[in-house]
Amino acid sequence: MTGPEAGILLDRVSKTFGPQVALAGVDLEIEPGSYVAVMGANGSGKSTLLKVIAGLAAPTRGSVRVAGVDMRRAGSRLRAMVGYVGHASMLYPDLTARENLTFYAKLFGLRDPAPAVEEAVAAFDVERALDRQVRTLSRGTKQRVTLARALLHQPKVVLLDEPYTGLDEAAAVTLTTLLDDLHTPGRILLVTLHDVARAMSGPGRLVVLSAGRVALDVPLDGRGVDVAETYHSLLRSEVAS
Amino acid sequence: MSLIGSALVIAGKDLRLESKTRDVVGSAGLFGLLVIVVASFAFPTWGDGREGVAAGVLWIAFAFAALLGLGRSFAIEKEEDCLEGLLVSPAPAEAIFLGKLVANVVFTAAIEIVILPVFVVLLSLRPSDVAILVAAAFLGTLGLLTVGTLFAAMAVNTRGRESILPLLVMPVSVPVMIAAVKATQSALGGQGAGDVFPWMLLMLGYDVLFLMVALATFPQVTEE
Repeated sequence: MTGPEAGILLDRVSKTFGPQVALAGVDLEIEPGSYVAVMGANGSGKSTLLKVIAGLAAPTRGSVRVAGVDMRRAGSRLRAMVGYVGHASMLYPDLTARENLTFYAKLFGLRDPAPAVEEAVAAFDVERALDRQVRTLSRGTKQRVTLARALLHQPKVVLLDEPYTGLDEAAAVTLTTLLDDLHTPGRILLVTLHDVARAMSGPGRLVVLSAGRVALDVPLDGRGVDVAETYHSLLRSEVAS
Repeated sequence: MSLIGSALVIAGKDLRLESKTRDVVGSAGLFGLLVIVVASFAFPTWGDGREGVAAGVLWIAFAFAALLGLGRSFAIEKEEDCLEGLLVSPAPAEAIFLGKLVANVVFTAAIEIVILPVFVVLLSLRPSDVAILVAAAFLGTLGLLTVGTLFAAMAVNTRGRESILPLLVMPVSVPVMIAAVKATQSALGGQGAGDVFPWMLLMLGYDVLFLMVALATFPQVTEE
């Protein structure tokens, strides 16, 4: 059922919060091994899209399937395939980075949390922050611990919601390198971004949302449409309307 | 990982957090002690019927201490969206509820273990049945915290959650509070409390019923 190949299929997914429409009939198919950038203006539905894929928000209509299984019926095995980073760190500020990571490693059912934590902190170069309280960490270091937290269990689907927010340029360059390293065969990397230049330097596909709908879905292979110009004209038309 | 295993991991995390911050046991424990000390001066410590007053005072202290702790229970998950971190994990939503409940029971029990002897000494009481007193404290606290943990999760996303939480919890917990006061009065040797058995049975039934209701509804409570 939840084999090693974890594709994502969204079938006419809508999500409303009272009168507010966050997603309005999104169809999307993402193959295993894809690195996809999701862009759009504020309120276009990017965060909601990631939340419905992560199983944090139930679609009002339509279905989200990961590895062929409806996320509304996702069991623990399927949720263990997903790593999610939202706007906040999901780290307990009064615990150390090690205590946070060990807690999440246990929660994800890792039999031996200590080696998994050591491996994750080495991958994200946060060894020196390991025994410091999270509330004392810089934004960049905290973001790296956050990524380590989301990837401790080696998920097949990685969902990152605006991971560059608040990072200085040096930390952003480091994050870009980390994301490139995360892009491995069989793993889906879905990242929401605001900066079109970042979308052009890594992801292989761009999905642009506008008012909860897919307004643009193109490969980023350097051929075909001028993606930057198309994206900016979409934003301009949205502002004008 | 099993439901119980996940719940214990979550409870263990809350206990570790509390051991560092002392947010719940410190403030709620001091508040509970203050209620007992003030009551020992305000109410007579001799004469007929004092066990009934004493039982009421004890449960006021327990209830307010529990409510202070409950307010903090999900507030720590709200900061940095940690609740989302729990919800995207393989742990079932029911394990989150059970983990929080276990942690709340441990915090409140720790406070009660301190308050109870002080209460007995300051109000010059001679409990006739310590086992019933402890059992009543456990069953009453469990009922209060089961309802309180569920409502704390509901209230965490509302504005003014600290004031909303008691408004939600108190009306629903009236039956278990009455039973707890009556059973405690009986354990303290009070006259007119009647047979303690029906009150204990009422608390047990309340606890089981609301535990089932909470486990059945908690997944919906946490869903966006």
